[in-house]
Amino acid sequence: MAIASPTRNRGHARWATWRRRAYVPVMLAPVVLTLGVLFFGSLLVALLQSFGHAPIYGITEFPTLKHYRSLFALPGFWASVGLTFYYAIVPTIVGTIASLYLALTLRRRFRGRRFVQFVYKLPLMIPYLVGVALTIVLFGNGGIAARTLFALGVIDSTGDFPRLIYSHAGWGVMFVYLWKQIPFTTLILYSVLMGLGKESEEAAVTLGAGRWQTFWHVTLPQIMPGVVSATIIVFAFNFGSFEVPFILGGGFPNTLPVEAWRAFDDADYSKRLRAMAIVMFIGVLSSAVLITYLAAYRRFERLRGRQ
Amino acid sequence: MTRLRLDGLGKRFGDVDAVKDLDLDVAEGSLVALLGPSGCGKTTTLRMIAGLESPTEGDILFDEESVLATPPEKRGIGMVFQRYVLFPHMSVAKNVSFGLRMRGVDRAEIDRRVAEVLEVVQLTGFGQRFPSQLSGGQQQRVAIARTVITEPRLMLMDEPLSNLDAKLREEMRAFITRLQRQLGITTVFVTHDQVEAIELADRIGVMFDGELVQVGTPEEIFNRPRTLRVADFMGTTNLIRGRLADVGAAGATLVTDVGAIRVAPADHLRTGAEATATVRPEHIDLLPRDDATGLPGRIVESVYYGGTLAYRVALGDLVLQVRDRSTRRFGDGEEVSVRIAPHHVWVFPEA
Repeated sequence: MAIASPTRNRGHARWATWRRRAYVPVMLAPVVLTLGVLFFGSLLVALLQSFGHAPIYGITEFPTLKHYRSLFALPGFWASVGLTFYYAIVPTIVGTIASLYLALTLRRRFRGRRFVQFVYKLPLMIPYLVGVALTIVLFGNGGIAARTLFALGVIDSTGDFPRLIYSHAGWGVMFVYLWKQIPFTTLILYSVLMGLGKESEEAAVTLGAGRWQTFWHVTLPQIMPGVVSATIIVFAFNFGSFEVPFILGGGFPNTLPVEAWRAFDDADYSKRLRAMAIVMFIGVLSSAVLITYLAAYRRFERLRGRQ
Repeated sequence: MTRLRLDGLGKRFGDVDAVKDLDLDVAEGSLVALLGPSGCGKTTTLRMIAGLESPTEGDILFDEESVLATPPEKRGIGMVFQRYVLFPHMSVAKNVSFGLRMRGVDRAEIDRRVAEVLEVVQLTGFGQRFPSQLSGGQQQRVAIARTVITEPRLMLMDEPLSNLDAKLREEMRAFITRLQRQLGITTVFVTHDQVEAIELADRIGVMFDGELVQVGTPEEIFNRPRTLRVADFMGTTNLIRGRLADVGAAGATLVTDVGAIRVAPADHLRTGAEATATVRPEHIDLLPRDDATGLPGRIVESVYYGGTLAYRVALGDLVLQVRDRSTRRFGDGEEVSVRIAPHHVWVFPEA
């Protein structure tokens, strides 16, 4: 029979402690490394290029702010910033309100509820570009809507159809966003509502609260975490979205992501550094908005006693 | 104070009758407990009274006026739920004042009434806390405070004590009884716990399978159950079968295989009828064998329950359960005399 020596026992204990401590970092390493290289690595490259470090294009001006200065001096730049916020904020707010209504309705018992629950999720499975194509087919000047109105005699020619796409009002852009994002937000809010149950609303009703009072004072505050999560994701996507405003937008001034693409795609490679400056600017603006939004929400939650 | 009357109330979910033809009269200021096992329809009945479910048949009347067309928020009821259902994002004071705020009562009046009602539920000084910072008992008291502050016509309680531990449940029972007497609010209390119903209620309605099978005072339900099922649900009991003889003004005799047992007079007793009688274990006296006033028996088993001795006593083939609070103690196998007072023997009017 072997007798374990105290030295050997200490060695085993040290190895066990090391294994226990290393377990989590080792398990996380593949994800952390991939994310680190892909996200922080490319972010660092973009940052360095925006400050003039781009040896692959033969540019080594680092450090310089000239690409940022050229950006702010661009004609229509601030209009682009405004347009980017407009396309990001309006569909986020409209989509959240519509999703709230839809999620609350889906909680009720009605004939055909299961069918509606299936159908509303369909856009989630279809790419944005298909939505863009659908919008053109539906709302273009020669589209289905224009032809139908013309056939009904509402308009004299399909050319009289209001300009819903390729305009700065952005109806087409926002239609695509809402078509895709209402199902997404509804899915989140519906899950939160199902988790919440109906008891607190029933308690409110038995205490004399009407439907609107119950929603405003009881339901909404309790599903706020879901609303905040959904709006953050949707806003961040809309703010950085490129393909939808690129195809359906009204041209100059473009949104910031479209401007970044145009600069990046220019025959003059030095403009790629300006593209990186725009990318960094988009990141800073979007982060500032989301951090402010989250800080305001945390303050609101603290006032309600949540930590 | 409001009188509640349920008239032929029914609720059908698809092919299932959750509540069937239910008639119940709750007097002004009284507390009625709806007692029954899970799924018997008692909560559905309560939800129909609250307006959270619509009946498929019958009527609900507050002071003889139908409230079927009145939405729940206008019925003037207060409901206390099993899981408290406090609003987690509101402080205790905000929870308690919710009903008043929804009615647009002015701020000073709200503050005064919140302070008053928190004192009644012994939670003065807890106003700024949040529900997550309270114990189960405190949360349930806040739920009750939130209900009574609106001075409801009717208070509905849906198993409000079932999430509390045994000691707290006892304290809360006493608290609810005191509060209900003090405020005099007509109350319907739903429970599956017969002890709770007996302690709290002025009257108990026992429900099985969507039907109200017996309504009466706790004493009536406990000692004079209409059916075997009610007797069984109200706690451990002994069933003795026999034939009735000598029915008269002084009572009757139940002739059994183990001897004759005297029964107190009752209208439904008929000479010669086969009958089943019930006797509660605590209503049977055990005496030493030399006492000739009882039936001869033998102790099969005895268990001590702290202050009470539980016996199983054999009388021939019949085994009776007996609870004895006396200081006397009989050992296993000991011969005893079993005495049952006639007024504790109840013959079921229905088999």
